[in-house]
Amino acid sequence: LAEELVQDAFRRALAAKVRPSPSTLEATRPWLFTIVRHLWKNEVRRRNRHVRAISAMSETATSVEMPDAEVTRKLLQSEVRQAIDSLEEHYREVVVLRDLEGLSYAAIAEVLNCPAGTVMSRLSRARECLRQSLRAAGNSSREVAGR
Amino acid sequence: MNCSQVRESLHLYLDGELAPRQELELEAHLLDCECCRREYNEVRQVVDTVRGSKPLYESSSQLRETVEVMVNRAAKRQLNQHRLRTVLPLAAAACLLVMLGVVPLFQETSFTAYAADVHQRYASGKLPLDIQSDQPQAVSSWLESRLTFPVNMPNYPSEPGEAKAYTLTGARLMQYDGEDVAYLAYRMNNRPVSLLVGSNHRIIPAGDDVYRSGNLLFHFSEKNGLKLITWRDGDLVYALVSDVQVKNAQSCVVCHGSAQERSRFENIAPEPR
Repeated sequence: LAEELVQDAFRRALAAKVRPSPSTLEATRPWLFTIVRHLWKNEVRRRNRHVRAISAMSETATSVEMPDAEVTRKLLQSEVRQAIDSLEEHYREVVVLRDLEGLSYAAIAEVLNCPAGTVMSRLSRARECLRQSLRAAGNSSREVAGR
Repeated sequence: MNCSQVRESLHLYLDGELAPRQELELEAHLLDCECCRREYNEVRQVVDTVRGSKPLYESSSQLRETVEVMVNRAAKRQLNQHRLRTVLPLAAAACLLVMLGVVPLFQETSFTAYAADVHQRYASGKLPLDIQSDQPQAVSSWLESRLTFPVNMPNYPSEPGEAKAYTLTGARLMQYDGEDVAYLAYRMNNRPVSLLVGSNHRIIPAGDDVYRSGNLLFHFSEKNGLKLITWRDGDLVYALVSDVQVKNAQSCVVCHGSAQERSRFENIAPEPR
């Protein structure tokens, strides 16, 4: 589903008569995110049921031999991903757009169609949730390691 | 700033959204207030952890290829309408809500234009090299200490007793859209050949004619009488520029013409559109 949405978003973007001006990367990215978000919302409405944001992407198996540092990195990635996935949708959006995609508050506000102040407050709350989740994940990892 | 104001502004500060004067005030407060400093460090740790774990969600190579083909076709269609620049800064399309990774596409046509321009500057003696050496290992080591990505130097073997068709001259660091790219200079038949290597996060290969060889897609184009080939291999994107006067995939054989190497290119074939 995720990949289909991205393809559809690009198809629509390429066919669009009106595009962001100036045609810079900074102006184009929020526009594309907005298209993706609208498509996603439509899809959710169409299905009329709760759809978890689960990536269909294949994850690199950690069972193959990897250096310790790589294993640690994968574990950390997994913890962070779980923490982000467990956030409420409106918190997850701002974290992904800010910390993973590097959009400014103004650009995020444009994508989400909300005031920049809302972006700020959601981000603050989202990071607090992440702090608690990651702390709990860290504690349980240590417990497992200590057994 | 008092403690309350600082707590409210910590995220803005970490995200570079504060005005310079407010930044100074906040930093001054952090120096004096251990409690706020601790809070700042904790928030920063969370942010660093999240940002440091990128890429969390990766798109499949199939999706990337599909989008590349779509972008290239749209670019070709709109070239005639002089709208290319308004069409294609088709940058990243990450699926925020579906949590899919990003397909950060950049204006690939501008990267080929950039590569052609860099080549012309070098060919006309206006682009000095940072390191001059014909030793791939020496140049590779020099680049490795300066780039965030590894550059695998092409170093294909020649046939026994036969000199390589090309020789390495040296390299330098360049910037494309604020990101480092490696510029490698070669000579072949006393003519300059340029190879640019960059991270594929912001650059995608592009060209009028696409050929496939194994898992690699080679994009061929011409600009100002120069032949350009761009392709992706792993996490890197390459752009090769020369004035070799042969068409499309035949130009591969110019450099890689030994019997041993030729077999690598025998299966190269136009990619169906």
